[in-house]
Amino acid sequence: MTDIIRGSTRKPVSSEQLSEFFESAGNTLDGELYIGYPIIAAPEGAFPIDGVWISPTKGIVIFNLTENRLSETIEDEQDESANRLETKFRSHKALMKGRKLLAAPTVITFAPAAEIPTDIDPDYPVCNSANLHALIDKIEWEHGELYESVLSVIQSISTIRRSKRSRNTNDPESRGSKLKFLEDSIANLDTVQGKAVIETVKGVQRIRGLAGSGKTIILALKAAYLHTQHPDWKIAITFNTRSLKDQFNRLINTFVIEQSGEEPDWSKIQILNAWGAPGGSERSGIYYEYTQVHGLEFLDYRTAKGKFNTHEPFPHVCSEALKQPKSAIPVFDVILIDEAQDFAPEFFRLCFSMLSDEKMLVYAYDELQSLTNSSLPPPTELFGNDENGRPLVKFDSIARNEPQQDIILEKCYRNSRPVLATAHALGFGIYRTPDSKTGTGLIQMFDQQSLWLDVGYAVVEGELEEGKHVKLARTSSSSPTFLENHSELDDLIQFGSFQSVEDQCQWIVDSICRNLTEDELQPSDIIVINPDPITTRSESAYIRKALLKKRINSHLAGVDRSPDSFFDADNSSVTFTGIFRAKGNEAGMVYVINAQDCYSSFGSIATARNRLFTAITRSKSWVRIVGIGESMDALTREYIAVKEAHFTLDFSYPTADVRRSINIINRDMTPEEKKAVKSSTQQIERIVSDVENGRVLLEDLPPEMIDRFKKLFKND
Amino acid sequence: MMSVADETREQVNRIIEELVGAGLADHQNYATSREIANETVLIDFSGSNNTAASLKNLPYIDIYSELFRRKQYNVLLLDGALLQLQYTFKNDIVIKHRLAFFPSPDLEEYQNHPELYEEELLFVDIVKRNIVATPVRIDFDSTVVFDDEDERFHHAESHMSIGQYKNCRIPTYSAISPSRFFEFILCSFYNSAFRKIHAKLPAHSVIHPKVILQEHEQSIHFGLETQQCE
Repeated sequence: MTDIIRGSTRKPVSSEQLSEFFESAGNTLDGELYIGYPIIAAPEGAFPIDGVWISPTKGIVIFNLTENRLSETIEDEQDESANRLETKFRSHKALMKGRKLLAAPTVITFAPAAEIPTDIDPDYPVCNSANLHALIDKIEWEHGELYESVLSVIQSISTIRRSKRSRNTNDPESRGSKLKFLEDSIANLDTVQGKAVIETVKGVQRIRGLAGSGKTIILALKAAYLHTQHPDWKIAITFNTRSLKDQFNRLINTFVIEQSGEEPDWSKIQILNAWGAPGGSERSGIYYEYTQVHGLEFLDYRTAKGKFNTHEPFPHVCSEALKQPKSAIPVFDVILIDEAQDFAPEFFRLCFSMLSDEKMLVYAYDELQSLTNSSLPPPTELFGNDENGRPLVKFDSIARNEPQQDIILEKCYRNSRPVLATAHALGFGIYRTPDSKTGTGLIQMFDQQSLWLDVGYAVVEGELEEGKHVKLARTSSSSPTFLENHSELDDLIQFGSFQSVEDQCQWIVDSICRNLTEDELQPSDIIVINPDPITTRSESAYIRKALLKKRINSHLAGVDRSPDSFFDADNSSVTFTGIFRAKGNEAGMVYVINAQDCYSSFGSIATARNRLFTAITRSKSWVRIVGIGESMDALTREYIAVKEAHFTLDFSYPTADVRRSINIINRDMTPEEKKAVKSSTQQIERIVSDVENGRVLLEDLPPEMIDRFKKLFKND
Repeated sequence: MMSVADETREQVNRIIEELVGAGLADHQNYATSREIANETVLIDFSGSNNTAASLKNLPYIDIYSELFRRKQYNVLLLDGALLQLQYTFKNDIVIKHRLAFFPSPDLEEYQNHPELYEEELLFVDIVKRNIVATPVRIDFDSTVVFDDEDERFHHAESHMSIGQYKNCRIPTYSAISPSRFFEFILCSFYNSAFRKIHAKLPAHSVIHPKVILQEHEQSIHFGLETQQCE
């Protein structure tokens, strides 16, 4: 069977015919076919390959596609394709023997619609669907053993290392050396990621996976790939956390240069905030562009907050904007949305309306992570219905060789198995002391149990069914072992409970000093996160002053004039941050301070645990979770349970009723709700104690009241 | 006994530490001293280069961006304001200083999300939408001598300059020590925060002699009458 990966192409008809050819060839032709890929950087700009087929028996076959009539220069074109691809191959030692390339490609011009002349030079074959198979059969390749290597070279979309930092390490066992090794290992993408980048859907595409599965890189690569293939397309990429802007800028710039040899045309490919503001392209945003294009009033945050009387006015702002224009005006050919879980459906609809007819919208989001505790609805709900009540976007179950609309990345490249399992266990409250109200320690649980499998967990014991006991663990394929093998388990994750703020501070300062000296880590390898946004500034201040006295520079990642940078550009300052700014960033050594705030919180325990989850999953290698007091002790005990379970999630999957109860009991309450609950609780306590003490007799209370009271409990 | 130069440097650094500890400073560069000529010491922020000189004729917004980007400051305050302190001592007497407060021209982020900042006492002053960010400098130079009386009047040895206006030189009593400068800026622009921390700031231990001319004192000027006995 040939696996077909359909990238973006300017030759749709011939591409389709080529794909059909391989599909109908079935088991007679094995390998992988890439359409519209790879793109090779050449001095004159990007050189796209129309199609390439890699076979274990036939090697590499390049297809030059012809939509209509044969060109005059097919021989030159074939030479060029071969030469360009060979240049790419020659830099890989595995494919060379001395100066000879062992994987020389065959080139075929595939012209399904043209008449094939009879005097074709056999060195420059031209085919249509009728004679292609026969030609392919004649190809001989003596180096079948290189198949995997060739695949890997073709699939390695980007050879640019993400980390540009050079490390001077002397001790091969130091943390610095270990980080260097990790960074080198992660450099190449795996197959699923490669497909996610190239596969282009003429419609909406969804990419989801755990935090750290590389979604941001995939989106950046995808944007770069589409921009290089279609330089005239208007492409927009948007996100929620401002610190991503810098990342996207850097990534897209790098990838476009790598693929095309030129810098991106920033007038065609734009990195936009979601909201935006007037004042130049740096500050512009999707919503702002929309108002400009339709001539609508632009509402900034403050005005919108006042107008809609809510702390989260963005959805309202979007739906208001959607109501007004009489017709949609297409602004972009493609929109890519990162961190989609942080946006409301209204924003998706706004983007949808700004797209040209093909509605190419790619959205990526983290499964099992949401700071605001609202998950993303399926596309049918997200995009709403048309005038006839039919959903605008629907994911049909797709045939194997169609471009995938729904891509799931189960491999996590950032967090090791123990770190991720710990984060999930604590985030969901798997080993938390059971709550008498719900009968379980679980704080939140989603309805679709198969989601666990999607994100890379496997069932090691029991059944993943409602009401049944189950034990889940990450596999070595979903959590590559090289992420954890470099250090002892007790070094990867450490919990620390202190008696006082001073003690916590002292420990952190000592630890960071050690990190920067014997551990050979650099300041940008360290992030200190305070989960509670309100106390972040003051808590950080205390520790930062102590560090300053030891001549260690640090900064608070915060709102500054360029709100998009998180780490210190000169790598000379340790980053302190609150939970919101931390999102999307990662570092080798992460300190989570005041973790006791995450143990439990009246009226917002789900949020508290989600923050802990986010904080822990910032770590590429080591994480230190510290805090003060009894709550911290309790949190530590929960961790010990995870450890004793060997980092498996061992629990009883809650039934629908229990889930409902969990979600209600542990829901985030508004400040008004919290007040109401507290006050009602006090009142009930008073009533109960009055009756118990005989201060008030039940007989004295109005009977209708007692009836109503009784009715409240009937439904239990 | 520490030299005045060293004491000045130490004063800057102690105050920086307090600002960090109070959560007012998001980033900082320590003051360092360096001998630049015979008996001449320059106190400057580490990492200092000549950025300021090259930006003279640009719009403020560009000047600020460059200074911010290149980290040309002693302190980056929580609202993006930059504080710079530079002193030149000869034979341990101050002959020049340049003390600058460069607020961020763009406070929109804070003003658009006051719910994130209103709770914080430290931000109370800047979330108001009607304020205008204005740079303030206090410069001192005793090395330039003017023969012309008129020139002498318009070029007070120690003067405050507001808004980067070239000829704005409001005469000031004397050279200003770091603690006086910080106190002035905090009290004027970060008043709520100042009240919270002023007890922790180091004492005004460095005294500079009066240099203001009598003619200046007869027009509007900045005085500094309190002199502690040394």
